[in-house]
Amino acid sequence: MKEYCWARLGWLVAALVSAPLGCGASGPFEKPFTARWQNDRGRSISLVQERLAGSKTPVGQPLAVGVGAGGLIALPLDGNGVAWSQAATLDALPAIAGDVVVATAAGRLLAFEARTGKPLWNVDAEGRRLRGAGDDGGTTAVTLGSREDGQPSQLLLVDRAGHVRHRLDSAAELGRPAVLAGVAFVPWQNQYVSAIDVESGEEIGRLLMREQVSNALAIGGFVFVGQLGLLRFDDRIAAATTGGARRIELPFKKLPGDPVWLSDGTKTELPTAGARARVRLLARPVERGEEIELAAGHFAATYYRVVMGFRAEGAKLAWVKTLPADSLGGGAASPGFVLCDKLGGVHRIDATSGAAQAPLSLGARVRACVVQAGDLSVAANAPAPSLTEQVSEAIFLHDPEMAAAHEFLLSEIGVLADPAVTRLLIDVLSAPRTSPRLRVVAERLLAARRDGVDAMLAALQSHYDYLTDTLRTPPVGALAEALAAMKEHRAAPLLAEHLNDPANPAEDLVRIAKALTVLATVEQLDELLAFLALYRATADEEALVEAVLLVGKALLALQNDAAREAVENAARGPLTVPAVRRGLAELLEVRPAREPGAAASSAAP
Amino acid sequence: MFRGFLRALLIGASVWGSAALAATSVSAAPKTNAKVDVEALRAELESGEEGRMLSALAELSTHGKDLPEAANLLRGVLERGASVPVIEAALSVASLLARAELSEAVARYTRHRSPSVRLTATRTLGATGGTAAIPALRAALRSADAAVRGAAAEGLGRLGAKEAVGELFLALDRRVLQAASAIGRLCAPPECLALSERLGRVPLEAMTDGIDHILLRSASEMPDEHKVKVIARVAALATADAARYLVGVANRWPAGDAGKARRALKDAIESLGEKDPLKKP
Repeated sequence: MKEYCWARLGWLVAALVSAPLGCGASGPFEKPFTARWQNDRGRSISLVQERLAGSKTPVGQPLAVGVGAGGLIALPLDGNGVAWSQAATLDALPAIAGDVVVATAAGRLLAFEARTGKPLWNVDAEGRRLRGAGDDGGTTAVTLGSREDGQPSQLLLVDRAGHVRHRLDSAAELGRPAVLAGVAFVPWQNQYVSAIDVESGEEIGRLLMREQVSNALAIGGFVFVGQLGLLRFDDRIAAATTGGARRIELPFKKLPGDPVWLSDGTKTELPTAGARARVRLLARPVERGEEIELAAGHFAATYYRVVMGFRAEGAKLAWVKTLPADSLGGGAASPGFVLCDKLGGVHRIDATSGAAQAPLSLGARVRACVVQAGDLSVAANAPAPSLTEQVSEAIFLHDPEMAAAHEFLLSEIGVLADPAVTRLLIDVLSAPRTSPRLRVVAERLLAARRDGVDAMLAALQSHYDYLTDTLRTPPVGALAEALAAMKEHRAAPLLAEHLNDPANPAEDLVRIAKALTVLATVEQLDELLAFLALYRATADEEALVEAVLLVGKALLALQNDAAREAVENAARGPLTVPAVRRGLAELLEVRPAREPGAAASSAAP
Repeated sequence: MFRGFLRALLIGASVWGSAALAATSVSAAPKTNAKVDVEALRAELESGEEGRMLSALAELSTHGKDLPEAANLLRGVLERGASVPVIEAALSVASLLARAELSEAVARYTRHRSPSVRLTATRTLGATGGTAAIPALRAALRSADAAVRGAAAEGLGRLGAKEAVGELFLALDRRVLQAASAIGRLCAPPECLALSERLGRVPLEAMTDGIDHILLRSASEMPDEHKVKVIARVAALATADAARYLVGVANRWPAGDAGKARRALKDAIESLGEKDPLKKP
């Protein structure tokens, strides 16, 4: 301590700061969390770093803690403990800090041993609610938020015996703290991180961040601070003000529900999970040489019942895991992910494949859940299904709440070259419960496919059939477009049959007819002639007119006398719909026929 | 002026379907033995003018039965295609002519996108028969259009399409009630029993026509023991409607047939509290 005071004094002299000096209660900071401070460009925090160099935060007990109807329900995740519960009426989401679980209930701040649930201490919360907690194995730092506007935030530093060593009020909103070797790191006012000596309660260093900061976290022995991204507290932390600190953030990816990695640490989270808790990003920074990266090179996103894994590089979808119920909380392991659902299920998922170990259970339904994965390593113990199969499982949940995830997943895999994807798109489009919006996405993707021809041809064999309960037509329009682009002539007879199937929507007829201009041979002459005869004089909607003209074009492309004669007759026929007549005439490059009433030189069709 | 009036009537006829067309044409062009000018009729039908074509079709509806060329003329109209009123009128005339050689030309219209054209064509096939009729009606039984399914079922029954009984059962089980009558006409004895097993699930009023066809067949076509089972299933409904229906069957029962089935009918009627119309069958 004495040594540190000298170091601090040295810095103060060097910095020529005019503020009151000394190693006593006063120092470079008048009082913790006060804004009257001149930016020292990282010097004070650098001194703190030098003091703490080589120190590590405790690994912490891997644990899932749920908020059940009766209070806390906890489950150690490493098999080295038994599930425990504690009755309490919580007023905020509990926090796991190393080997301690803290919660606020009935105006008290409670702490329990993470492994066993044994009560450790119980102190007055002064009517405040838990915001966040950190622990270094000896002292627990807890930030409490006010119930009412205007009431200051509070930092409590409590030792294992339950002695409140310091209780510091702050007019500025305090974020979630971390503790490393006797120094608490407390974000505040969304721009500062103060280092508070747990012995003296004095602020011994301060970091001015160039970005939003409301969280200090202990991860893998290090303290990280930030919100959108995380800066590591290490030998480069002093350079944070100039952007030189070690920092990691997740690659940007537009994801369903716009999940965030870290919530705003200055806000109290309620003990009942809302939408935000169900839609989250999970990632764990790890050291790699001089830099930091994401564990196993992957991060995860939750969206209600679906967990999606992404490669950090390029943010490409790697896997999808469908949970039995909404995810309420989770944590990133080293590597892997642990999530708990509202039924109390705890799921351990491999980071790279999405393969899940046998689920654990909290033993009861929960309203909210927090997970500290610690150094737990979740490895696949069985091969995961293919990505397409995983997406298929997620999509066929047919849960309207999942619509955004379904669209996202389909768009992600819809561009992958894999015949199984083509099959999935066809299945999605053939399923009666597929939502109209998802249908639009699937249609677009299917039309752009250039593989899975066999699946496409098989799908075209199907027609509406009331007797076999086939009450949807296959996606013939998109299939026609894709097969024509692939010059797949085997599709021609199937498409010709669909052309004359009234169950297909008129819009699809246009795409079928267009495909037949490329694919049809003289073998499809009868179907093409039949279509022309049926609709040249009855086409009563724009799409049908367009389809008739395309059929005319397909007939002319056959270079067949009968085909050309039929088109010529239709172009001359007084009963032919005027738009069809004009269009066919243009195709034939002849003048349109005379108007009805004029004498016809030959049989007018 | 009269010509204009006739034309209006014909257009109306095409909208209202075959019955209306027949009625209109009869009133507009009284049936005579006057010689029909086939070439003139052909020219009108090939004119491509809706009014002239409808007039010619009206004439065909009147004289077509006696005109060997009528089917050819009609087929030409259907194959070339025309407006919806003309096509519907042509289909109605085809129904009146009931010529098997028209079935192919008519069949393609069972897949037309216009619901009214589809329905008229389906009904027409039941009248024309012909090689294309049964396959087209079997396909129409699978249609998305309930009216077309019903008409297809009726047509299959009328055309004696025994090969379609399996599909008719599928249709009946999906509420195509017209299939019950068709099955009654077409069923082999075990199939007839299978039809009677639907009693209770399918309303009796939808089943009576089919049951009639079963019970009133000759003993050589339908053994008495099967009829007895069918009668028992009707009686098991134990409703006033069932009793009334069985009395009606007894009234239509072939005179002189006093076999096992007739006795079972009598017992069933009496068990339902009604009087058998023939005391001593």
